[in-house]
Amino acid sequence: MKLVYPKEEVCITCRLCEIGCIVEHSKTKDILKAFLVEYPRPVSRILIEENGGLSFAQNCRHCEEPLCIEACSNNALWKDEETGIVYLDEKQCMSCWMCIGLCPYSAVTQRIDEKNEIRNAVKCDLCPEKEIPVCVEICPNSALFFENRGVKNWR
Amino acid sequence: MEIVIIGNSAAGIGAAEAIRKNDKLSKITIISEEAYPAYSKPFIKDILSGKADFNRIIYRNEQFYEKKNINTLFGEKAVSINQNKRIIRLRNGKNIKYDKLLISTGGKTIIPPIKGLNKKQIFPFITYNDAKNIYNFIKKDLKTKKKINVAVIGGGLIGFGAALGLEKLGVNVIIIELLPYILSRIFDKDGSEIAQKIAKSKGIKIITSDSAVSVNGKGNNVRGITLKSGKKIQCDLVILAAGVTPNLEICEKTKLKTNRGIIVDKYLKTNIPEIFAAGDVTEAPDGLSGENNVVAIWPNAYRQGYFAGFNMINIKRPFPGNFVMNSIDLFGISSISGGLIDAPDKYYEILSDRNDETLNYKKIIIHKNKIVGYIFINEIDKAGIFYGLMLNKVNVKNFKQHLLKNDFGFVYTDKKLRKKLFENPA
Repeated sequence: MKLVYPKEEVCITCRLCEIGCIVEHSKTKDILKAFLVEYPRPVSRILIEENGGLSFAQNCRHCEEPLCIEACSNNALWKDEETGIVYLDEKQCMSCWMCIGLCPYSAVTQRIDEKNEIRNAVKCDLCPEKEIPVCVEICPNSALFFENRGVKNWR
Repeated sequence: MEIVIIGNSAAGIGAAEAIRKNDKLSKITIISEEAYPAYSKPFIKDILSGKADFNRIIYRNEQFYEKKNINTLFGEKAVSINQNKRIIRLRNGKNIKYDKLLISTGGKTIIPPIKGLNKKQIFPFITYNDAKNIYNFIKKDLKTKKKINVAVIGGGLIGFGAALGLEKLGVNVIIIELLPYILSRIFDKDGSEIAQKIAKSKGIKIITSDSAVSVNGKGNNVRGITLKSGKKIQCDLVILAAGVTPNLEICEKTKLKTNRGIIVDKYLKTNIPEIFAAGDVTEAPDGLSGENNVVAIWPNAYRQGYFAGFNMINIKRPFPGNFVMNSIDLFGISSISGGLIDAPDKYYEILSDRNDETLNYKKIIIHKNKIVGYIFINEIDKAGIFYGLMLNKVNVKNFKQHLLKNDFGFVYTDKKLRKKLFENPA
């Protein structure tokens, strides 16, 4: 299957991938509304890590045998047998954060909005409605690739 | 081939899923004493609080068993194994034949030596039924009483989970812990102190270094508890949460080798070639020490079951070993710990950072430049990276000085590791 692969040498920390991801996973898919009006505010499923001049974007590896699924006792995570995409049902999630504790890529994120009593995990779904995930599409620097390099596990 | 699985929770399901991935033909039968499809044991605290109903915590629904072509014998108890004839005997007298058998009967409540445990309002807290019974009892009682006092015997994961549920019901909770600290298998002293501080701020009373000697009452009804120290506590209900122990009933009269749990090798095989074991009933090799131990946590049970499943159908896959990892909700504050919580000797390095104002706590234990344990309270975002570093025994020598940083991540690790993980997994 195709995954999102970063190329750290050319990432310029512009964070457009994060912004694109937030908008794509918002209700309105409108950048202004997504950032200023929508509650709960959508969370990015791709995260930039940064240290000094080095940065790169990391998201889910859609593992062959995902540890997040092992961790989930509430059936909120599953792997689509045909596409290989690992999905997280945000409404089913009961926020035990076991997937966060087990994902060795740190690719699952907490979404906590106390005001609206929302607590659930979120993760990359490879933008199933799009041909190319929005993070790859929006990257101005070709620092993200959507390619098939083989899926594995880190264990 | 006829495959029989005794037990319908994480380990049993893990095995069934692994088998069906590779083998669509063998007959799979799951026997379970509980009369319903698999559900989340960790979330029975939400049944107790009334926040969730059974449907909300289902792990694999009825359609799952149908789709995977799994026979279910739910509400049936397996009472004995005839290892020579390869037959399981059910409570109702029926016999079930097997070619390969998985025992995943889980754990059972440790009944502490306390007098007066025959009273009505004393409950274990392991199953859906336990949680539902407690909930029903409290709901009924809340109608007639102004305030209900509940004593939770045991301040470990189960007792703390019960306290989380009970607090939401608005009852008074008192935890009685034998050791000097609660959650002592999940946190070190510092972590436990923070957890205790949080729990107390929510109105939970905690008594440590003490234990119950008798439950007192009027006839069949609970009225209070007498502690070893002589202290007396008033309560209307008692939850027994002194721990769980492998449920070995089915092993009686067999030649299965057991210690605390059923002893298995790295293929999850017992000393009897056609019999495998997985989950909380099992004593499997530890991922760090290599010695057999019982690690009764959900993902570990699933993983054992999953690897057992492969080996049961003769696809040899060694189990990577038990690894402890727990995520505990501390009344709204997240926390995760994994591996060791304390250094066994002076040859271990400890990095730690505790802040009582923000309730943040971080601790990392390193041995021979490898991560062997960690605790995170309040900030858990990157905890998974530490699990991966521990599981894969990554040498952290070059980036040790960054491990405690708030923004620690793969940018601080070796480029080679980062490239391997994120750019080219082949």
